[in-house]
Amino acid sequence: MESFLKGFKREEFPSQFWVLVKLRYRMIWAHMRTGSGKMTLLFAVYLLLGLLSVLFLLGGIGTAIAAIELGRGESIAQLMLAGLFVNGIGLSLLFGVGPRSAFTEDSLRRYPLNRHERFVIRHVIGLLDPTWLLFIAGVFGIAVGFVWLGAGTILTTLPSVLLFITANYLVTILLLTIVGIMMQTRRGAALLGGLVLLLVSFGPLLIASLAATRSSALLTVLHYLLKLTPPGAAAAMIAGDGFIRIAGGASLLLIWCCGLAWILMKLETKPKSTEASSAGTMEWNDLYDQFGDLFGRRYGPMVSKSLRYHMRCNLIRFSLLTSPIIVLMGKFVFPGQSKNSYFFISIAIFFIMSAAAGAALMLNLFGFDEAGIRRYAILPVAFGDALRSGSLASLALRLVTVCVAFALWLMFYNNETLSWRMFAMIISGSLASLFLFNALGIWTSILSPKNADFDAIWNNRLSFGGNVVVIGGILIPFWAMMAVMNRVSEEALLRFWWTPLLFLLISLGFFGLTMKIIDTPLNARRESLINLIAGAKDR
Amino acid sequence: MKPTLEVPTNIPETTPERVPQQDPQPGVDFAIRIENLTKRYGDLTAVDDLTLRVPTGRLFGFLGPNGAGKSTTIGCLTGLIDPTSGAINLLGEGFNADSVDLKRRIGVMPEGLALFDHLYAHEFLAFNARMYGLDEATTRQRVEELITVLDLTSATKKRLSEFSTGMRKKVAFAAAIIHRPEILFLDEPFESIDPAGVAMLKDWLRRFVAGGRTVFMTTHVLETVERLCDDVAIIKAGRIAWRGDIGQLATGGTLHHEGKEFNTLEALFLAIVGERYERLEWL
Repeated sequence: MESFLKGFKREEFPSQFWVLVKLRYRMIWAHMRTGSGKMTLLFAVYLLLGLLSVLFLLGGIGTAIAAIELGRGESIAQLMLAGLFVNGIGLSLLFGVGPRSAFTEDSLRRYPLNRHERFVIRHVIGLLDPTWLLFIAGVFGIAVGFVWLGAGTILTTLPSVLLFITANYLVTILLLTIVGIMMQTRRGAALLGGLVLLLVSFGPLLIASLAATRSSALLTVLHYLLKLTPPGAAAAMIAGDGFIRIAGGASLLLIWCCGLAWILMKLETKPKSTEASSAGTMEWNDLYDQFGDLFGRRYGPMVSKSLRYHMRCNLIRFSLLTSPIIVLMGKFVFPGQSKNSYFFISIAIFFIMSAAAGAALMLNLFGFDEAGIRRYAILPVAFGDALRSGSLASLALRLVTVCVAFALWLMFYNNETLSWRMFAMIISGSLASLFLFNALGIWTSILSPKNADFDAIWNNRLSFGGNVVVIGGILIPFWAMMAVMNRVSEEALLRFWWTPLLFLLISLGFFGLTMKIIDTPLNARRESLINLIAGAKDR
Repeated sequence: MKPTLEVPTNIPETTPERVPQQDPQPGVDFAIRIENLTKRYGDLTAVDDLTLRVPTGRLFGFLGPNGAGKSTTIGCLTGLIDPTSGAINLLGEGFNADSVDLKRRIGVMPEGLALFDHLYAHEFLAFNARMYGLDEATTRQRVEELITVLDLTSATKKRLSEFSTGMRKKVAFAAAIIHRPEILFLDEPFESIDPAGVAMLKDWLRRFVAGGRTVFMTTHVLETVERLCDDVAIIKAGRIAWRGDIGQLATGGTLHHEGKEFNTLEALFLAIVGERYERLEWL
């Protein structure tokens, strides 16, 4: 600790720190002036205005009023803060916003900063990311509500907000770091996949069964455990009565923050594992090449290359491997549903899975090539062939995913009720989704491309157009399922078993047409696409 | 498998080896003909009405300061960039970004190298070889030879993203020559490569042009150009500022520009682009 504090005694540190904070915000502003940045800005402003008001007014003051009127201020504050805490983590894990590394450790090493200063600069700037300001606003709203109604003082609530947000950030960044370390190795990625499988399959079941027991002893234990967490400690500081409770909450939050920061520092300074040897036998004509050969000399080499890119990108591989698990959600996430509903849910889930598996690459086929996109322009090949090859590789891998998902579904579905019509509806709906989204992926790759970071594990790597397609691909079938499920019986639905088949034919036609006509719009944007993905260079 | 490419052991750096030229395609006088090439980016004219002819079987140096239009010109000549106006003729045929058959006959080491960073070196080279139509046996033989002679065998299990800058340049160079092109376009090929590697690549280029093929190369290393190239053009603000044969420098001759004589290429280059000797008092 002494050496840690010594690190900040240099006179230059505060000015260096502010220079970097200002640079970070200049970079955000520069990004906002780009095309996709303007869209982000639009959403950010909408989120800020919308969410801030909701969080401030309803989340904060409303909570305070309810809590005080019910005489259960601390308990309700605990639950509200726990909700914000989980949302903060979830938003960062799912969408990669928040704790982005504005400056990497390596990029800061060129400046005269010691390792403690670099650690603080990186994480304070991460904490000051606009996304986290939303959570600060939410927590602050609760605190203001309590102070306004006289149930707390500014002296205790303000520090509690700062400590709580710090703990929330540190838990999030720690989880991201651990997952990042796991994803660096195949074994770690498999273990992570297993954990996700357990969480998705049995998590909801566990929660449902715990809720069903309504055991007071269990609830007491859970309530006690919640008090020991950052939301519990922050609630004690905000709404707790008496010096001991407030001081206890403050101490607990401080312990959390120091402990998490210490673990994070240890993990970040852990030497990276390096390969003992980088030499080895060159493999020839492997599975990728053999599969690519099926597409002939025109597409074969590019299909093989694209397959390698799919399977070497941690996030795409993870997405393709874990997507089939989603089909189990119908069984486990909606355990109370009837058999009838489960079939409806299955159709929607198969559609969603086929849309989302490997979406980051499917919807941005050039985005992961970086400077390599220039190679397509100098090779003796039509530029459109590169796009078609990428789409074919994506289609093939996603088809394998659908087959695995279907095998899993058969294992868990009640086979006695399975008819050929159900079989046809599930399969043709899923294939229709594959072709439809592959076709849309070709269009988004041209019209809404994004320079993606191949190695980044946590980031929303979709462009604006890609986000629209994916979100639409998830929400539309889900809404359709909810609309149909309560109005139509399974028997009635099965009478229209040919509808997904018709949809498949239309999707197939759309895909075929897209593959055929894509050269003209692609060639019109070829140069700007290359500059966007590879970066415009010295001319 | 033993490499069959000869690794040079004693390359004369001060007395360039100039091999008698031979024309591989009688009737084709110029490997590269550029007529009134212009490329504009909005208000900026990167290449301005450029006309240039490069005879077949020559090692041509294309020089200029940063931002002069070298890479844009190479981009237009290789299909990376669409010219605003003008005509390009390679090996006697009109060329544009869609000239697939003509692209099979040229090799390119572009700006930024255009590597697929997440492939291994042998995968990347095999990909290029197959794209140029080489059969499997030839592909394997050439890739293994290139990996060996370019001293990349110690990194066969490393992805290209993990390679040093010099190693990446070697891979890009190998990808440009793997199909034995008739014209080779090289954008700053030697920078960052170790001296032994540079010596070997220079030897390859000399043999390449000795076989009647053509090299079009940009670099900022004027000594290399002076020792290696036959012809040179200097581009400034998108226009050709000087064009000539520099072969006489090797025999003690001089270069001429606006009535002045220059006994080194560097002196000529600085006279054309303008010398800058501003001082920083605090340095």
